[in-house]
Formats: sequence, C-alpha cells, structure tokens
Amino acid sequence: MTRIVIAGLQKERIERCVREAGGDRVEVLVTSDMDAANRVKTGLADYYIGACNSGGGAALAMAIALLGYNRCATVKPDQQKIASLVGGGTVAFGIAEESIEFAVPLIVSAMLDSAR
Amino acid sequence: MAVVVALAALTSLAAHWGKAVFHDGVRPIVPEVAAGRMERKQLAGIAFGLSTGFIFAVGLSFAVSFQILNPWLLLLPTDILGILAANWVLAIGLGALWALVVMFGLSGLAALLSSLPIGMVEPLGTIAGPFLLAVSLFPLLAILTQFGRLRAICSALIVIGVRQGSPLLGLEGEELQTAVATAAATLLLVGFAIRRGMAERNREAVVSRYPEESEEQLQSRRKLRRGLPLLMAIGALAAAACQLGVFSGSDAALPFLHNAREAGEIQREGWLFGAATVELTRLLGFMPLLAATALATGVYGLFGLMLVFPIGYLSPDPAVAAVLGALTIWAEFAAIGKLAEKLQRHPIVRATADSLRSAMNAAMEFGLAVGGALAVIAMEGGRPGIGLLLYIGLYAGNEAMGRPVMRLAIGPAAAIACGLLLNALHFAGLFALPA
Repeated sequence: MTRIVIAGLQKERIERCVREAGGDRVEVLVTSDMDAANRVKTGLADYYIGACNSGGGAALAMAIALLGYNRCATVKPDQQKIASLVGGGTVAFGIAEESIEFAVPLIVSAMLDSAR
Repeated sequence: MAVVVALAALTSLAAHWGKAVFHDGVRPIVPEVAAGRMERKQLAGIAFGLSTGFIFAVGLSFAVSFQILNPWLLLLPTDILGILAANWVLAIGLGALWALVVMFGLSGLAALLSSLPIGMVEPLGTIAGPFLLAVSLFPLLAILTQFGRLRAICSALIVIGVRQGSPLLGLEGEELQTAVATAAATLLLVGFAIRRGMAERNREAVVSRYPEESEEQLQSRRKLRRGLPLLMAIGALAAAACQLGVFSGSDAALPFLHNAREAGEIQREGWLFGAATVELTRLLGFMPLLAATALATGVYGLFGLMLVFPIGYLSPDPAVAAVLGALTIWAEFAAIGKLAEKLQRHPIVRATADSLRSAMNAAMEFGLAVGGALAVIAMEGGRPGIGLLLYIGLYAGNEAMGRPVMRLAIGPAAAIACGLLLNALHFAGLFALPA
C-alpha cells in the first residue's frame, strides 16, 4: 500500500485525482504541509504531493525544510522526468495548481510502478 | 524615491546574508549554501528559475496596469541579486541599482504608453474594479471549500446584505461597502474556524508529536534574532513605502491602493481601509506558512508576518509608518515562538490558512480575467470588437498551451498585449476608434 500525503493549495482536488489514479492501492491523507512533511520524514507516509501557484514555492517549502532539498522536486506533467525522479529517491513532489489533473496521475502511476 | 532604493538595497543584503528572502520556495533552500551543500551560483540559478514567471508575468504586468510597485517586480530580483553578489557591498549596490532601473523603466513605459494613439493606461487602471470585487469575495470561497455549501450560501447572503445595506447605516460609497463586505466575510470565516477548532480540541488529546523540533527551532530562532535589526529596517522602509502609496505589499491590496491614489480625499480613506482589511485577511493565510518555515529553516520571510503592510497603508505619514513598521517586525518576532506552538496544537489554523490562500488565488484569477476583458473593451472604444476577440484568443490560447503564463497574470498581461496589438493595427491602418 503506497501512502501519500497531500498538502498545499487545492488539496481536495489533488486528493480526488490521486484516488482516481491509485484506487485501492493508495492510502491518502490530506493535511497541513508541516504535518505531511513530518509524516514522510518519520516514515508514516511514503510520498508527499503539494501544489501552489508555481509548484516551486509554498508547495514544497516545508518539505524541503524537513526532508532536504535533494528529496524534493517540482514537476511538470512529464512522464519520464517524474518516473526517473521517483526512481532516484524523490519523495516530495510540487506541482503548479493549474496542472493538477495532468501531473497527479503521472506521479501516482510512477509511485505505484516503483512500489512493485 | 529614496525609500524604494533603500528598500531594494537592504532586501538584497538580507538575501545575501541568508537572513530573509521574499520567495517562499527559495527560503528553505537558502540554508543549503550556508551548510556548504550548494554553491551561491546554483542557488541563484534555482531562484531565477522559480522567479522569472512571477517577475515578468505578474510583477511587470501588475506594475504597468496599476502604476504601483509590487514585491514581485522589485524584490524577487533583489533576492537573486543578493544571493549572486560576491560581497555585501555589491549586494547593496545591485539592489539599489535594480530599484532605479525599475522606477525609471516604469515611468518610461508609462510615458511611452501614454503617447500611443489608442490609450492604454486609463483602461488598464479599470482592471482594479472587477479585481477588488473578486478579492472581497475570497473569504466566502474559503468558507465554501472548507465548511461546505450551506454555510457558504448563508455567509454569502449575510455578506451581500451587509454590503448593500451599509449605506443605510451611513457607510456610503463603494470603497467602504467593499471593505465592510470583506471584513464581514472574514469574520464569518474566522468564526466557523474557531468553532470547528474548539470542537476538534475537545475531541483529541493534545499531544506534542514532534519533540525533536525543539532543538532545531531554538537554533533557528537564534539565527533569526541575529538578523532582526536588518529586518526591522526593512520593515520600516516597507511600511513607509506603503504609506507613500508607491508600493503594494501584495496583489490583493493593489486595486484598493490604485483606487486610493486616484480618489479624492474622503474616498481615499475608505479605499485604504479596504486595502488594510484585505491585506490582513490575506496574511492570515500566510502566517502559519511563514512562521513554520522560519522556525524550520532559520530564514525569515522578508516582511515578517506582513503586518507592516496594513500598518503602512493606514499610517498618517511615512515617519510614523517607519517607526511602527520596525516595531511590528520586532513584536512579530517576539511572538513567533508562541505562534508556532499554537499552530501545532490547532491544526484548524493551517487548514483555514490553506483554504484562504486557495480561495484568494481562485478569486483573483477570475477577477483579473474579467477585469482584463473589460479593460480591453474600454481600450477599443466601449464596444466589444477586435480587441476583445484578441483578448479571448490570448486567454484561451494560454489555457490550451498549458498556461505558459500563469493564470494569475494572464488577465493584465493579455490586456496589455491587446492594447499593443490594437495600436499596431491602428498604425497599419486596420483599426480606428469609433467616432
């Protein structure tokens, strides 16, 4: 079971997309960015998805602060990039609020692929 | 304006010393340089990548449309320049230089636009109208997403009632009505949040889940304290710049400040009150993020918790604003530990702040889109025609292309582009204003 925490702007929208893409193979929690980042840090969750205006600012601020810059990435809806980031150990993903519906399915499928 | 130049110089210095930066996304990465894990140049490159969209699309188009300086245009670049600078003297110099470039550039642009046959400056200013109406709604949107339809509809009825009914209580004029409506919506949101917060607190035991934070937070607080004098100076200058009406602390307050500048004595007070109200509501949405990031990284937001802005708008003169601004930064900092602790214990605050920010963005985007359309119609003489056609084309095209220009900026940016296109068509003999 892949555990994903969601934070930032438009959390409910992201949650909907994650559930659609992952079905019952994902466990989803919507919370504040500090709580979400802490959960990933302490191992209570596997991945973090956050959104803001640009995907790079508030989306990942707490994640970068608590998880370290190297485990976080801002992504656009780019299948290959996302897959390679997940493979490379990135656990926190920041997306622009406007690309939620495009990027989230790609992120979730990459996460599920890597869990197999 | 010496105030603006000084502000830019000091903010560049703050970025150079890693004490505070404006960009929320750059802030957590700044410690990487001090820790030796990243080169200055690399951080500057990252900051640049994160900022360009904001600087040009948002910062420039807002500044041209409303003729007021904003943090995106003025201070995102000083973040970058400060980080890049090899020593602190350069940091100050580059910051000051940028301020001069911006100020002269903007007046030059304004002069250029004023000389064009198809007028753009006045129509662009009218974007303020729809913009501020949308802004006054954002607490209602937050209520909708966070507390559901029923409460949102009830709140909406109350707010509309307050807005339309306030003349009966002697509060006349659009500016006061809007300010009062915003205040009412905010109070309702806060009310719902407090109620839910108290219910949550009664249900769950208060457990400190993250004990190891304390040591890091203490370190961060010490680090922050060392930067306090500089930040107080920045706060003073920012408040003064706000008081002088040349600077807006945020996007949400811009239309109010624009109208304040254009208005007569009596109305100006009302608009400034509106600006302060909106700014206060907005900063409620950012406070948790700013406090938490500051304590987690040791890097502060450039303007503290941003209380200096409404204080600046409402101050009677720059000197008072400056003194209050500095004191505010100091007071905010003193409270920040307590604040963070409260935040830990009441998750409702973060949830409300998140929904406020979401709502604010959504409302502004829509308000600006509508405002841009109306501005273009004004530019082409009052009736929809080729101008509006171009605007819709640009807007829809931006959406279809996956939004190279962010939705917040596309309204004013497209309006400016249409103005230029209309002028181009005019020069080609293909467009003329109706008689």
